[in-house]
Formats: sequence, C-alpha cells, structure tokens
Amino acid sequence: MSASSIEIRNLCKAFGNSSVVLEGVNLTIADSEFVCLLGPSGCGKSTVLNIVAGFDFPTQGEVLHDGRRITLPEPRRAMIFQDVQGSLFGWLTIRQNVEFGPRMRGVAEPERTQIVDRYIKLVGLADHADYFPHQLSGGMKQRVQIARALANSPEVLLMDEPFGALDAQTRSTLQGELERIWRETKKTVLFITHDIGESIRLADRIVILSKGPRSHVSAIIKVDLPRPRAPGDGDFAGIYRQVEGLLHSLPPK
Amino acid sequence: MASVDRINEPLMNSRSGHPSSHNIRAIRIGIGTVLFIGCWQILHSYFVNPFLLPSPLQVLRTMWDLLLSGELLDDIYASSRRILVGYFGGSLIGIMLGLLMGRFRSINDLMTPCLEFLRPLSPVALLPLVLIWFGIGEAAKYVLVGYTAAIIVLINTAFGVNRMPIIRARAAQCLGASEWQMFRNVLLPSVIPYIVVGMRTALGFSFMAIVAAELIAADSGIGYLIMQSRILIQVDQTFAGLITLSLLGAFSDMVFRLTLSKLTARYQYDLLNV
Repeated sequence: MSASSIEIRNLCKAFGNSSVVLEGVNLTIADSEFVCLLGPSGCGKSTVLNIVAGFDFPTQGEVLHDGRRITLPEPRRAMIFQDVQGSLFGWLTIRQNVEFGPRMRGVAEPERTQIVDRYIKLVGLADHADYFPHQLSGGMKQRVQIARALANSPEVLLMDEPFGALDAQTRSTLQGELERIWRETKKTVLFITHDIGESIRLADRIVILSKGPRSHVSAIIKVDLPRPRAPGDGDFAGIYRQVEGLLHSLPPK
Repeated sequence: MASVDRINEPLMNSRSGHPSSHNIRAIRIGIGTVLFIGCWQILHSYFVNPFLLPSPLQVLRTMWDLLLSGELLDDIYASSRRILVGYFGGSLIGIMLGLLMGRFRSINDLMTPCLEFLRPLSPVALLPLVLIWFGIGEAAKYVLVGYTAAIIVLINTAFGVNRMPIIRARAAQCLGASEWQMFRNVLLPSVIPYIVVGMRTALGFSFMAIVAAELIAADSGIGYLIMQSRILIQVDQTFAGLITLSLLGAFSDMVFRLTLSKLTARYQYDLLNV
C-alpha cells in the first residue's frame, strides 16, 4: 500500500480583507501517520482541511503532498465529510456508491467488482450492499463513505469530524473500526475533531490549534499508548488532562 | 448486526399503510363523491334555476351524445395534441436553460432580469401578444403552452441545481470525477427530483394555458367547446366541457405518476435521505 506525506508550510488564510483565520500554520505529517487536529470551534480546523484537500486556496504559504504543491482536489486525497446525507449519492445503492471512484477512473469490470467487494466487506456492510443510503442508520452511512473513499485507493484520508453527528456508542464502535482499518491499510490520516477522547484514542500525534482568529499550531502532543486503545488504558487520563489544560489555557487574542 | 435486517420493514409499512386504515380512507372518499353529486342534484332540484344548473344525469347524457357524435373526441384530441407538443417542448427548453442557469453564475445573472420580467406574467396576459405574433393557428397554442411549461420547469430546475450540497460536488471531485462526469453522474441525478416536481406543476398549468387560448381563438379543442356552449347558452354542454377537462387533467396526472414519477423513483430517495 502506498501512502504519503503532507507538509503544511507557513499557511495563512484570510477571507476578505479583515478576517484572518489562519496565520502561519506549520505542520508535517509523515507517511502512514495518524494526526488529529484539535482546537476550539471557529479556529479554522476545517479551513486547514479544505486547503489540504484542494477545495480552497491559501492566501499565503503552501501545502505539499509528497513534495508537490497542492492546487486542486485529487483522488490521491480522499475527504470524508460529517454530513453523510449530502456526501453520499442517495440514488445509488451502497455498492454503486462505493464503486463510484473506480468507475469514474475507468477501472475495468472484474477488477472493479473485486475492489468494491473488498471494501464493502472491510467496513462490515456485505449484507447491505444492495440497500440505498436512506435505508441505513447514520453510523452505517458513515461506513459507506469510508468504503467509498478507500475503494479509490487514496494515499491520504482527510476526515472532517466524521463521527461528530453520531451517538456515543456508535461513535466509539466506529473509532475502533477506523483504527483497525488504518492499521490494515496504512493510510496517512488527517482527522479533525473537537472530542479530546477521540483524538487520544486515534492519533499518533495531537495537533492543537490556537483560538481564532489568527490561529496557528500552539502545541503538539505525541500519544505513545499501545493500540488498540480504550479510555481506561495506561496514561489515557493523564494525556486527557494535559490536552484539556492546553486547550483551556490558550491565550485569548 | 441482526437488527439491521428489519430496517426495511417500517418503511414498507408507512408506504402501503395499515390495511384497515386503507379501507376506511376508501370509504370516506366514496362518501365524499356521493355527497358532491348529491349536493349538486339538490341545488339543481330545489334552489337554482334548473336551466342554469343542469342535473348530473343531464350532463352525463350530453357528454354521451357528444362522445357518440365524435365531437368530444375531436376536441380532446385537439387539446391533447397542443398540450403534449407545447408541454414537452417547453419542458425540454426549461430543463436545459435551468441547468445552465444553475450551473453558471454568469448565465444566471444575465437571465435574471428577463426571468423576473416574465415571472408575474400569466399565460393569459400574454395571450393577446402571442396571437398577434403567431396568429390564431396551432403555432400560437404551442408557443403559449411551451412558454408556460418552460418557465415553471426552468425555475424548479435552477432551484434544484442550487440545492445540491456543495460537499457532494467536492466528494465527487475527490473521487476523480471530471467536469463532464460530475454533470452526468452527480449534478443531473441530484436535480431530477426537482425537474419532476417542476414538470408535474407545469402539466397542470399547461391545461390552464391551452383552455385560455382555445376560449379566445380556436376552432377546436375543449376550450372551444366550452365557449361555443356559452354562445349557444347550452349550459349542459358547458358542464360537459368542464368535466371533460377535469377528467383529462386527472388522467394526465395519473399517467405522469405512473410513468415519469415511477421511472425516477430512485432519484427521489435522495430527498428521503435525511
């Protein structure tokens, strides 16, 4: 499996003339690394992700993917949105949704079905391949979105609070599944969340953005717990307090 | 995961309804029909000058006579042809312009003044102008119906394009869809439910437009039949024309539901997906 690195260099983003959202964000994400971006709401987390995806452009600075400057969305970087209703194609079955990327890229038939079958199975939806999205629960829809992204064999997964709209139990299950899938596929992941527990459970490193406007990276915490992780493990609580302290002590601008 | 197999059931139930509640509804609709005809009969017999309001049976007999003489079928054919040609032509133009308007901001801005000018102008208000420009022949009818359908379908289509979530386009971009693939595989399917709503509304309005045109300038059609009966003061024939119009409208809507709505059912799922 290929994977690749993302380098964010002195990223600045202003909307209009007055509101500077990001100022001097620097971050390097290594091959196959799982990074969580954490920060108070309105700090520009989603803006960072949209620029990395190629949906939005930096005012200053640049983002590199494997050393190449990002200017447009590419299949190498897959985005997973929180709003599954908007993101999934409601008129296509689960199978057809997952098949979308390979079909657009012209992957030929026997191979295409194999790919689709593999990823539908990977997210545990083999029994629901012929359902339509509106027949599935929120958590299952999110699984479809993950499978759809993976079926296109991206190098990087960009996830914008993907489990934020799910109930606590489903969220926990999906966190476990995502971690398993990440270990199996070795993708590079940039994952946005405002849930401290979620970031500790998933991340190799937690990157904290300062309070906006003019936010930048204020702290980076390495999470060294063995995987798979659970909230009761080792120093989980200690890291939680540390992250919470960092988040709350962010200097108000 | 055993529980998920049941997901489908509530959906099916809510669609078909409980059998007994279904029967009750049918009975109520039956009672409503009897009440409607009964009231009509009572008004005819006791309250209104019977010359001004013929009895249901009288109207039915007139319809039957018109049917046997072939006159009614000729008029139905004339009106239907005008509606079909104008409606499908207009819808096609409306869909294409609506997609362009929704897709390209510049075209939207350029067309907005024209559209704002036309929007409040009912087909009836435009009829004199259409008659001057296109004469009293068939062309004028096609244009009037076509215009009516095009405006309604256009507005709905453009609205549908704008309603597509931006993240859906972004998801497709990430998945490697080209501009054309995006249009064909994402935008168009997302807009189909709005096109269908627009076309169904436009169908009703097409009936209104064609009757208006036939009332004023035609030598055939249901509107013409109604107007003739007014001149000859044959109120039973006026009612026969109105009922034909009503039945034809209901019939075409039913055909619409059984064909176009059925064919596009899977695209409607997208609206359920909340």
